[in-house]
Amino acid sequence: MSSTFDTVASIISETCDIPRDTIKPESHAIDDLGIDSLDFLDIAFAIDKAFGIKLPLEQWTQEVNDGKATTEQ
Amino acid sequence: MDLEYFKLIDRIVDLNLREKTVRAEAVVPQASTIFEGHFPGRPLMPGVLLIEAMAQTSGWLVIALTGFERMPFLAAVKEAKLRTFVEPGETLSVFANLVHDGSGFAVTSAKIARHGKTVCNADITFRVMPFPDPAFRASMQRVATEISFPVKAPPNG
Repeated sequence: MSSTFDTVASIISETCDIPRDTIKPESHAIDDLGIDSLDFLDIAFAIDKAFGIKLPLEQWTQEVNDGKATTEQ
Repeated sequence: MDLEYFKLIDRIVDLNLREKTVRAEAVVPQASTIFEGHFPGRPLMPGVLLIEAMAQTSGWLVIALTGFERMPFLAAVKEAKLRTFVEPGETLSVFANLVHDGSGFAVTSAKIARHGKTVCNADITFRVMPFPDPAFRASMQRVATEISFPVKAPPNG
């Protein structure tokens, strides 16, 4: 049975055309995987379809812009 | 259509907030400087402008679903298929439905039909954000009025 990480990693790999074996739990989405904001929309859509979870992208973006969170978080 | 002003639809024919669908009508102009280049001696409606017509129709649906509080901006076009030529003077029906309402983005599926037959279709992603200023919102509301967009919520929801 795939773990949640495996499923999400597969989603990222397929959505963004990134080799699956380069995606690790400690991978930084932007710095390591080269994912941009448009890719995040595609990933969020795919995760919603797979898990029924709506990622709060707007809230996260606002928190980074307000200095309440880092991009690492 | 008024191609020179990038107005790719003429009027909203139907807007159903419950079903999250929209239908617009668009008449390709008989003449335009665009046709002089595309192509000389064989005027054809550019496929990218058909995609824009689908995007504009979808965009009005997204605006309606936000209660005219948020503005959609084109972010991605996927699986766009331009199935046949469209010529000056033709009347088109443009359809769109909301596929996904995400946080700060929306995905629609749109198509254009001529005499009931699909001429093109695409999946379209928008970034959706609050209007940056009241003047922009007011401008869009004026455009909405021109295309018979129901600025007040339609009876179906």
